[in-house]
Amino acid sequence: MIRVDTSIDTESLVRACDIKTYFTRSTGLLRSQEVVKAVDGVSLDIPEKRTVGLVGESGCGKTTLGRTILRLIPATSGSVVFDGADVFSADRSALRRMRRHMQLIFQDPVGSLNPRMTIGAIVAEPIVVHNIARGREIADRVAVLLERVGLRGEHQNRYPHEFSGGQRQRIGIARALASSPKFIVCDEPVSALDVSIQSQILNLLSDLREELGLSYLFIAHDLAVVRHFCDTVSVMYLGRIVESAPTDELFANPRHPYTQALLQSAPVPDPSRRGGKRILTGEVPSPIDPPTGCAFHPRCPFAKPECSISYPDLITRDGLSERHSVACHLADDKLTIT
Amino acid sequence: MVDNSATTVSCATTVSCTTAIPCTTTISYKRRVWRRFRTHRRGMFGLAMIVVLVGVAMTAPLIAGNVPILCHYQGAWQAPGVVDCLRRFPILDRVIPPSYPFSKAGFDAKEALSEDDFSLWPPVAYGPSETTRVSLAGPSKRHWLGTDEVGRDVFSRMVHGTVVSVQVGIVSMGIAGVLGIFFGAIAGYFGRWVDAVVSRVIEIVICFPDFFLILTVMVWLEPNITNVMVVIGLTRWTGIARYTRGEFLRLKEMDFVVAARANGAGAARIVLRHLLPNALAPILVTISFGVAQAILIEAGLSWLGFGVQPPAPSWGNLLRSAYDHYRDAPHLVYPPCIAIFLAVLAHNLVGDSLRDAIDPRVHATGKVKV
Ligand SMILES: Nc1ncnc2c1ncn2[C@@H]1O[C@H](COP(=O)(O)OP(=O)(O)O)[C@@H](O)[C@H]1O
Ligand code: SF4
Ligand SMILES: [Mg+2]
Repeated sequence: MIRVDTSIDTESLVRACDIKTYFTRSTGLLRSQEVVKAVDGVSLDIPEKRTVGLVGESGCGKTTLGRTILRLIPATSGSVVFDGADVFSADRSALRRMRRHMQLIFQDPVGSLNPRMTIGAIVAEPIVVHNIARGREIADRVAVLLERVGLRGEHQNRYPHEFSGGQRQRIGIARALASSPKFIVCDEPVSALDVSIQSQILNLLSDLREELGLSYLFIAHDLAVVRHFCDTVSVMYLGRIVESAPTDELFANPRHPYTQALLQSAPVPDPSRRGGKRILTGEVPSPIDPPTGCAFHPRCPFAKPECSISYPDLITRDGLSERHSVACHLADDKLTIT
Repeated sequence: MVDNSATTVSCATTVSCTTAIPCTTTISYKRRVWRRFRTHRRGMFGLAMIVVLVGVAMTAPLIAGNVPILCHYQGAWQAPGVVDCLRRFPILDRVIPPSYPFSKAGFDAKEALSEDDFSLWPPVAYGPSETTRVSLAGPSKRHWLGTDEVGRDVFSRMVHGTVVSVQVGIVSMGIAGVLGIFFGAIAGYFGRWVDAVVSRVIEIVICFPDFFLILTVMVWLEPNITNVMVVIGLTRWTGIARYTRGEFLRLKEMDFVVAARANGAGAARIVLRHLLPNALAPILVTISFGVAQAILIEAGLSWLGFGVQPPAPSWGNLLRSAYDHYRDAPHLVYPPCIAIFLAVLAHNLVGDSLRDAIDPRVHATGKVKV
């Protein structure tokens, strides 16, 4: 498989190579083993101070990929290099040191905060674990962090349930920032929030990125959120990346039928297309027994016989920029869903 | 809800805060559970009964006993009842000396104290093993619940029997709780072979009908209250372990635990700061059902003669002797029966209400079997 190179202008901070994450589930009376190929050969480059978007329908493996990169879920195969060091082969203490610089922001503002801990204790956890500060200094740092994300420093001894969804998300962001990371996986950080609050959180994340020089892997299930936030976007379908390009190019010239379908069904701020057509019909196939060849073929309007036989490589195409790669047999034919 | 976080934390879900003054009141998880628990009438009734039971057990010699609580004896003030009461607790029995001569075997305080000596007696002035000449008497002003076959005051024996039930509840469930939480926690947290081993052990232990297992063990051991408590504790931990394991399995997948792992937190921190505090409340529910079971088991063992040995009083052997003399004194059956029933009921009510208070969405559907 050919790696997508998005690191032309800056050095890559995170380099994930051919990641596979399979889950085995034993089911039924005979305890037969089922393999869920949640992530099936994904390569991803996240350059320093850049944001890479990862988009796809729910269940396509975005969360699994994000957590595998952070070594929170064991990978079946592949490798991740973070800041020049191999993540998967790091020993306990090296991994601990690495964890200081890579963080995670969650989708669910309720489940991501321990209901039995105060806000102060939650935000202080990375500081305590990594022994960054002691005693009074911890509380001072936490207050600064809370204020930085738009909360009040004196709310340290309150409990998560006293805050609204947007505020909890801010607390989660403060925790992620506490150990001064370089890289943050944002796993659908605004999907669970009211639309009015989404932009506030996105603005906050955007300000922090500028201010602290952060790199994000920004996971979302719709393209609209990603459009103004990411430098490059990778579209994921059933455990694989089907298209990857700089954001503007992807929106202007989507080449994969799945990307096109996603774009057309997304509510766009364009009056003539408002409402969005439902092009994506049918169920997302199960990752337990994915379709052969191109996994999108049962739902693809252009599917040809060869599509169900061989898997199309994720490669650059004639007429597209060097950083735009597509995994479709017909990508060169310039077909467009209308 | 509008996210006006830049200015104030909106307290819509809890107390209202005035804007200018920083609000310092905060409601912890414990307080919230307690607030909901308070709304359950049956739970509060159960809790009140438990408080009474524990109170009676703690002050038994002051409620019924054959030494005065306070008296003026041979020119000196003494409080033999209070001393007796305190000396029943560990550590205190080493610190506080017995009150001479009241502690002497065969010393009869009622005889020794003259009319002129000041003395404050417990409401029922009979010790649990003190015999009188009237046997199998009905309730009277002197003997509120009557006397048994050798003329001992039944009320006094009931009061002192409470101590046994409370002790059994606390100690046996303390042992079961420590074992259950420990094994459940390691099984749930580490999973894999640790879980497999612990789960098999639990399956083996619960294979045996536990009352008969306990009975069998008690045949080999000297039947006394310590052994009863230890054996109940050693056999009743499985329910707690299974529950703890389940809670840990559920909790360790939660995002806040993933966040802790992403921060590089170690196993000890994750277990002690994240998993256990969140699992403790539901575990407490199984423990309160477990106390009810332990009280019942102790009563059963004592009834069969494998538990607390006469003449020491326990509700189980009171019931036994009442049963043996049912024809002559049927009224003796009621006190131990009602006491056992209420104690078991109280713990079940508290367990039910506590479970509702922890998770208001789930409604009581049958007891958790432990
Ligand atoms: N721990 C797990 N065990 C088994 N299957 C899992 C596990 N976690 C995720 N999956 C499966 O992997 C697939 C991808 O899940 P996920 O990464 O959560 O998708 P997304 O975040 O894109 O919605 C889903 O089919 C899901 O059921
Ligand atoms: S490879 Fe074939 S089935 Fe897959 S997206 Fe392209 S045209 Fe459709
Ligand atoms: Mg997800």
